[in-house]
Amino acid sequence: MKIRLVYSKLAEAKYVAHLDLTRFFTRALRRAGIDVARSQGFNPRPRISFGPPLAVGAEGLAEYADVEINGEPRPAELEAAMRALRSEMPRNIPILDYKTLPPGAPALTAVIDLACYLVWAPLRAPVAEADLRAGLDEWLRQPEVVIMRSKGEGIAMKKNIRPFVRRLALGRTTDAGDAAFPAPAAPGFVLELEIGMSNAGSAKAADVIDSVCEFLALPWDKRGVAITRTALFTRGEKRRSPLEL
Amino acid sequence: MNNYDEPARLRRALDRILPAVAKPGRYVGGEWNMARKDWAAAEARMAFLFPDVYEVAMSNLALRILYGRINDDPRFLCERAFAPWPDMAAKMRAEKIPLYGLESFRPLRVFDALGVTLQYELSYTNILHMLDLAGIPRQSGRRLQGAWPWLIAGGPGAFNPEPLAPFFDIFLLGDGEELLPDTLALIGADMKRGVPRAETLRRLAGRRGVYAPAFYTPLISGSGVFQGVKAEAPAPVRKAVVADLDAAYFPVRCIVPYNETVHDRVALEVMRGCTRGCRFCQAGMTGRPLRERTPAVLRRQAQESVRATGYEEISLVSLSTGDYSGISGLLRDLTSDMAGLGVNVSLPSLRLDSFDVALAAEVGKNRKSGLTFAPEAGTQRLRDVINKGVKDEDLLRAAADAFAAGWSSIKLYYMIGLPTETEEDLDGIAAQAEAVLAAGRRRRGGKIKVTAAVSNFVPKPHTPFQWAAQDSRDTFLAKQAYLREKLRRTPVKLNCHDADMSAAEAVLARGDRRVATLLEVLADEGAMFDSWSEWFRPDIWRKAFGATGLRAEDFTSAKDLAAPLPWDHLSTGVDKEFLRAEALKAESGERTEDCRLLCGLCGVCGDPV
Repeated sequence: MKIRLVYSKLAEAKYVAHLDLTRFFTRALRRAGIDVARSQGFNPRPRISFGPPLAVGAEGLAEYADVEINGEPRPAELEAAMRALRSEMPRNIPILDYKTLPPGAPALTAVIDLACYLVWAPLRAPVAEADLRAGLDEWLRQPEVVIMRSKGEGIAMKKNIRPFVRRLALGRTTDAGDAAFPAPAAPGFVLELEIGMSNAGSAKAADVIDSVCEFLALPWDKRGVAITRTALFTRGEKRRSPLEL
Repeated sequence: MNNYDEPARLRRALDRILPAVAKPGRYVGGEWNMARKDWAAAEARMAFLFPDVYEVAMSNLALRILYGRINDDPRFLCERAFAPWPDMAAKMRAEKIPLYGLESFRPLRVFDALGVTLQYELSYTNILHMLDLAGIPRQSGRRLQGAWPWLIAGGPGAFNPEPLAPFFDIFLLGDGEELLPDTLALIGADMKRGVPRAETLRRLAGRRGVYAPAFYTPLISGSGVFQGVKAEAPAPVRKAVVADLDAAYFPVRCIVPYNETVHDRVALEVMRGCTRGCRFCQAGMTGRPLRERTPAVLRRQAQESVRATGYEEISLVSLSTGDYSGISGLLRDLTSDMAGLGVNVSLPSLRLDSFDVALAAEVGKNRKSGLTFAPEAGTQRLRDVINKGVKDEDLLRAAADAFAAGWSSIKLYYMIGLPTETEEDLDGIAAQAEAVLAAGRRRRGGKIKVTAAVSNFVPKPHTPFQWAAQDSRDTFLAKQAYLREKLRRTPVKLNCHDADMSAAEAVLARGDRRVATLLEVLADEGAMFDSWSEWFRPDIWRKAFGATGLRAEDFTSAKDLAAPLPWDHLSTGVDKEFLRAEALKAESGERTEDCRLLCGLCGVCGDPV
């Protein structure tokens, strides 16, 4: 049976690398007494798959994992197993919800199409809200936004990130910090950012923020930027989470 | 640094630098089973310091045991701090972020005690780096005024701590399960009553297992000859021993890291001590007497560990797990206990006989990763000298068995520079490795791999070879070149250990108190992570010798059997007379029996616990 889990990655857990998640979930599931299915072959791998990777250092409020377990537990048994799993998860990676998947359900990476972010960008000096708004509109009006992405070992590639940015809007602005982010009292603003992801690729939230702040020539405090992925949505007219499919 | 006394501030400051360092998960804690204790309620607050990177530190069994033991006691609190990797250390310096405890993000400066484990000598410069990063004065004499934490060290290195003596208040000798909490309790109670530190130190000195170096002054002649110790507290200091391993604390709820560590599994300690008596082996001498856990206790601990950690592997650890009395039965039982849980049981180190290969085959898995054997020397004569009771035919039979059982890769561990070694012994290494290769080819054809991993002999205190000379760097290099040439046309892969690193290790292992100055210069010059070949800087070491006027040869040359040694006032329970007799037997190639079969009268069992 395949189960889709919704979880958050908060506080210190934002530094857990995507590649370490399989090992982490396998151990939590074993603590909870849940028998995870394994691949065949010489080196069997637990059948767990994840949605699009979250950058190290970014928090995620609703992230997804598909877990295949052995057996076909009845709803009450599954509920008990999930209760056990919740108590075996660290406080910074809580399980929020789950559902069973029909056989043959497509993988998370095949259905997820949109990632929503809230970004806190602190400033070294206040900037007028009207100027920020005008600047964002101007950024969005550009037909393409080409950035240089390092591909390691001194190889850099050009990439147009504009097509992936589906929405970019100014949220709250403040002169003295934002309670939603672990930031000291400082002026700054919140960006609401939606990034599309498809076979053609995607853009990194951090790259978009860098580009926007540089384009607007803001007195921004780059190392103070805090990124939270708030939601992931699936392809289609209506916004539905991978759990609502 | 004062503004980082508030944990939330320090935590926020980290967020500004962590996205740009490698493996930031090393620096934020928060793992499963991490202790979260009430700072204000604790009578004594300790941080366990491991002077190496997170992935190495978190693999260490002493950390697991003592972290669990201290935190399970409602009176205490124990956090962790490790050596930040150089990228992180540079950023912390730039931001003036002090080294902190991973549990609460409090600077190390505000703890009552810092407990450093001395697992290997080449981690010593990292200790000074950690103190520097923490903003804590290195010298204990400079911490008398003000509320600095107590600096405590334990572990194998505590049996010759003289190179570190000026930096620590006390060293704890032997098993720490009871000694450490007892020590913390005394320190905590004295702090509460406002007892001056010097008085507490005086009360600690003389307790079993406690070495307070301030009361022991080494006498060193003008020409640098060590002449003994002037003791103003009881001597010798005898190590603490946990007599009953079944009753001893065992950490079933050990921390499960997110980052993959070196030994990322449950470590089940099946026994402590070793009866083989290899003459070069420090752990084999200092870990005596042998104590085993009973199978029923081990099975329970295995079950509880898997339940509390979710680990997929249990490793049966000890100095020589194949020697555990009930090993076959234990493996069978554990394997069946774990069968339904998807948990493997593994053996970390193997000796040399077919019995061990059969055991390894029984646990089955990991055939890809290969088997390791440690013949240590290339000829029977030299193996007799070092008391490694292994015969050529044992090795070849074991290797053939392993190849037949499906392994395709074998690694052989050797040491060069052992006492009495000749060219013939080097030839023996090459010949033995080639014979193993031939045995493999007979069974499996061409696709097998044999590696000879050759390390350099380092004489260690409290062993029968504590008086022996270490080869010079040039001699090591010449011997390595000789082996490389011998094996050049064969498919045997040869890995040789860095000769400069081995010389540095010897200086720290057998150093007296003068070596502390060397360590300070090394740290000032930026030496760190010396046990990592990519960070070891021989140029800095040469410079530090020049600056201090010390010579490596003072510590690497042979010592007179009758001369006093810098660690004579610290007792492992093994009589020096026994070590001396073993040294003489080694010279004549005479073997000493496994002490389970015939007591060698080393004295440890007569030492009251």
